[in-house]
Amino acid sequence: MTLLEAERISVDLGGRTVVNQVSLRAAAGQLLALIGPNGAGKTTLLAALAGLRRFRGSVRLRGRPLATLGRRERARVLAYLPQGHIAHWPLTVRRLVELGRLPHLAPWRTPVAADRLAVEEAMQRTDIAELAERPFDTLSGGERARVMLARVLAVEAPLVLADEPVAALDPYHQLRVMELLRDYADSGAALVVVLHDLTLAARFCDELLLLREGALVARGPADEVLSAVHLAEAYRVTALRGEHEDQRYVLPWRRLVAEESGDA
Amino acid sequence: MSRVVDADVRRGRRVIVVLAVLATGLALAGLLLGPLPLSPWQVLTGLIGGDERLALIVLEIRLPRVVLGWMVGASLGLSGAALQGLLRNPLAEPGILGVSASAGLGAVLALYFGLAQVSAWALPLCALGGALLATASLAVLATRDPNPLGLILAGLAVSSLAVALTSLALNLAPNPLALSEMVLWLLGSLRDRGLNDVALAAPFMAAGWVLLLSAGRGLDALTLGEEAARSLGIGLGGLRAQVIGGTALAVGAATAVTGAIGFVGLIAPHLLRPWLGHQPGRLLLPSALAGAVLLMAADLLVRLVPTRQELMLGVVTALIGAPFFLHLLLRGRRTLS
Repeated sequence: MTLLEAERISVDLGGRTVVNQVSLRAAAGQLLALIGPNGAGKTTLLAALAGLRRFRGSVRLRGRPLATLGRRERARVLAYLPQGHIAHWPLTVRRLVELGRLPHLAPWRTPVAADRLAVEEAMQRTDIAELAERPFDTLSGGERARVMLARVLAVEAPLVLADEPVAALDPYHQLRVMELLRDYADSGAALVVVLHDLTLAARFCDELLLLREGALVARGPADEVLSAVHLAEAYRVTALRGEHEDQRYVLPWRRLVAEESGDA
Repeated sequence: MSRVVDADVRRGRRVIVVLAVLATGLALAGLLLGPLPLSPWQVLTGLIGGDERLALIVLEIRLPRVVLGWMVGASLGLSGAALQGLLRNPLAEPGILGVSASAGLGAVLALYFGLAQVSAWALPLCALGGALLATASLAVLATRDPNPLGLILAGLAVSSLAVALTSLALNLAPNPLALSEMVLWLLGSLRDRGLNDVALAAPFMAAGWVLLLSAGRGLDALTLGEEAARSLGIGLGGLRAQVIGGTALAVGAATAVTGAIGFVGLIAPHLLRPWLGHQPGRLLLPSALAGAVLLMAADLLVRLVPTRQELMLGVVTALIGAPFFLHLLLRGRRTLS
């Protein structure tokens, strides 16, 4: 089932076209990686898909145009994880995860059993149950990332858009978070995730979308998208490649300087 | 696991009950104590108008003072908690941000230009307008510059300007009587207020409370930042309008009857965080009660401590609040900048 259909999305920021005619679709069970160099428009595209930026083009959630969904209705279908794992107040972990239930709570109603269950399950999945009563400001970076992911999972939305969920995490926690995202997709959700690590994208995602200067350069399986030509054009790097346990890895190795780029 | 949540909720209720008991106790003390201490029976007699002299003391002097102390304290505490949540700034408060001073300026201008003589509603409405203007401009500033200290500085600028303009109006005041009347708006006091003042301010304050108390969910969501809050189905424009409008109504009406009283909105939420945590929505109602308790306690102090001239309530809250503000500034310097 197609959960997200975006047709020719363009976003203008300050007179400049930051995202240019990008189309994509995500179906249940799919984990898509949005990759590309800094400034390629990944974050802007993701925010536009979440309805947080003005855009041209059309976005449909479960076949319905984004604009026709009410705010709360949209929030139940689509969960969005912004960059940076921000909490302005040092709430306890449980209170933060509970915020994911806001789209389900009627005004003035307190959480019901289903809400508590969703919160517990999200904390179990992300392995933070034992941190439940800890204030956010006492957590490590890896713990914070998992708490914010749990907050997003607690929404129980069929579509999740996550902006750099593994940024600034150590390798162990990068793998941990990617496994969680994969796991959530396998349970029937569709995910679009902004990533910088090409190997993580290749290993964990079903499809890669490569953005460059706001336009979609390539989309498809990792083998095609992470070709030498694409890496040279979009990232201006050459990469080492290999295979281990039947999975591909791509390791950016050398920068292409301007005069060399013609030879590459 | 759900027992933990219940314990948390129960603790919140306990704090509310304790604060309500304290507020009631202080209100009773406010009726009983004074230059002429009364017995509960005498207060009751006065309330139902059984004795003319007692009725004068209770109905005309003490009851308005107690009720206003309660309402104004609650308005300030609630506005402080809501502003801190909206601006995500633990130093935000109607006094420090210049909302109270701007409301005072509105009131003084209504007096200065004689509008107050035209209609009884002119003064509170002008105070409300001043509060609205200050809150809205600060909210605009806050969205442009996310630096919390920048916002506090902007608030100090707004406050200084409002106080300067108020002082200008005092300088140019047509007669000494008007002058003494206008000084009140700079210093703040619950003295010599009547039940008609209560009736004038109550509808605005109540409307403000409703707006502020219903902003809890949105303020909670803002903990995660504006984009995450929007993605959770919160309409930010509506939330901002709600908190700005609610603050203007509550603080504007409060200032219109008692003058600018600072720091209650800063202290109330801070005192509660060790017990209730930092979730903005959970702090709203308790902060209102704590504000009422603080202001009534301060007013009781003002009334009972023998001084040559009765102290102005706003002076007392500033004497307690300013060092507290300094303490927060020094403690939070690292996290704030």
